[in-house]
Amino acid sequence: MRDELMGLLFRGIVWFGVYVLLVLLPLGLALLRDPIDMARAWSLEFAVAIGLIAFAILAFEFALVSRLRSASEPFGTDSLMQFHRQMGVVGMVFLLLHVLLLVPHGVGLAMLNPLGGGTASQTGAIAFWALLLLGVTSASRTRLRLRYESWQWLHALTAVVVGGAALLHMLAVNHYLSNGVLRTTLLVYTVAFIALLLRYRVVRPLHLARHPWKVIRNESIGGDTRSLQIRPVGHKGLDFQPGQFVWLATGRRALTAQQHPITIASSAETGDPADIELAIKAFGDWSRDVVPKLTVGTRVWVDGPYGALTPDRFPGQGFVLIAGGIGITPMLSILRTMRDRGDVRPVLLVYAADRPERMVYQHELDALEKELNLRTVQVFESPPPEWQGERGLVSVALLRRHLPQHFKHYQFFVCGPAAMMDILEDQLLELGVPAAQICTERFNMG
Amino acid sequence: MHHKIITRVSMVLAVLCLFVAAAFAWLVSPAQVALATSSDATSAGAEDMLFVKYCGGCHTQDEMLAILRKDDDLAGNADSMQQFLKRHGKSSDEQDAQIVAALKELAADR
Repeated sequence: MRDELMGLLFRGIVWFGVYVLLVLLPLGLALLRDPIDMARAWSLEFAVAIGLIAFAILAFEFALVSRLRSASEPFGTDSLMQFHRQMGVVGMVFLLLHVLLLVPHGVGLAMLNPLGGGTASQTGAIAFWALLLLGVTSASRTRLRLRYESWQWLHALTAVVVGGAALLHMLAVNHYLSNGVLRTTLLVYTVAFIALLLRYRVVRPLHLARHPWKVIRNESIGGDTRSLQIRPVGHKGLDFQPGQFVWLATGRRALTAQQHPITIASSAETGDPADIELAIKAFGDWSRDVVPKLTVGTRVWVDGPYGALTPDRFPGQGFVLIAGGIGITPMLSILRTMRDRGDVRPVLLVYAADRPERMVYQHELDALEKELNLRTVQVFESPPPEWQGERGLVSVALLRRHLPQHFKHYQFFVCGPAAMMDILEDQLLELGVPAAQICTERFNMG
Repeated sequence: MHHKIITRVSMVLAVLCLFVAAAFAWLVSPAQVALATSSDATSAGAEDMLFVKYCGGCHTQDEMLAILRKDDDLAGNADSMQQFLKRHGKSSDEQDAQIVAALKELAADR
């Protein structure tokens, strides 16, 4: 298992190195151009360099979230999603810098008119405004009341427009791109982007269509949560690790289906048929309106498994599982798997919720406490007056009260709302838990 | 993986990109190009270096060649350019003449 971990670390380093190389490669190739021809002011060259880097960053933005398994495994899908968002902001800032730094060199407001000027100016303006639209709709999706599915399509469309217009802009300017090697490289970047997009939007859905699943149970389990049990149709199902998640696609056809990341609640030691249970909390339109209507027999599709929140990759002499709200689902999968494997390692489960009625799988957790070497601590933010247990938020003080003596040798798994994760990531380090032993996963991937 | 680690990685990468862009701009800036070409007399003549030193900060050779070729009046345009350099350029009259002569030759050749 250590070898597997080292292999993942090595792959992570290699992938990150490849990413940095691809982002900076265009600048290296730009140096191949005849220096006499290109001698211009430093600020102008800096603006151009920033623009080239912005293009490379944006060209590989999609690769970060296109579910390439070999690239996502070492980091975890939520980490790549976060990196995608942050590098998107970096790309956008670089593009703004590119425009601002060009102002002293004759780029005025008129150049931002997509209908005016020459081809270079028009394509640059289109890329600029499309990227601005992409940024605003991504940062303010909920405030703009954009449905997740509509936003996904808008996001993909604007990304294609930005990439295409930026490439045409550079070809029209024809300064560094008069260098054939650089021109070919940027064309390859564009082709890679289109290929990934086709794989994501066409090839993969077609593959999913050939491996359907059907709903065999769909029931409310309280706390605005539904338990969805699904069964593979004509195939052997999933080979997953406890704590991993899948993208669940629902709709008439796999090609146009809505996809949402849902954690598997089942044991990884599934029986035959390989049914899996998914727990879905009502967060948005899809989970609130569509999921309850998935009747028995409804066809769905499953892409996965993904995710790195699993003790199969991060072994320890014991485990501390900290769950907030629906973050209990991967923990339940871990506990169920430990039970089925006869794993007797000690586990402390800290389960936080607003109030007792928001908790799910309560009876099963009670049963697991008897079957496993498990101790559960429930924490309620707003408990009833008669509640004698822990209350408030999960804090250092609370953890100190319950952590076992040798907790620094334990592996910590944390899953819950973003605010809770932000606080806990710091607090666990404060407690002296080594960073390598803290494994987290965020649900806000949309 | 930690939220903060990824944020730091993104920030470090952004700063690295800025440094690389700055270094790139410095490498291809007129002063460096002049320096590089001065040790390679076979690939770039003295006129090229003068152009890089005095004009290259804001203009490319192609721009200048387009101005010279305007209205198919190479000689007239070259005179105007030399007069302009005399009034506004920081180079000496002799250097102005060398730059314009070299550009004129290029404009006629290409």
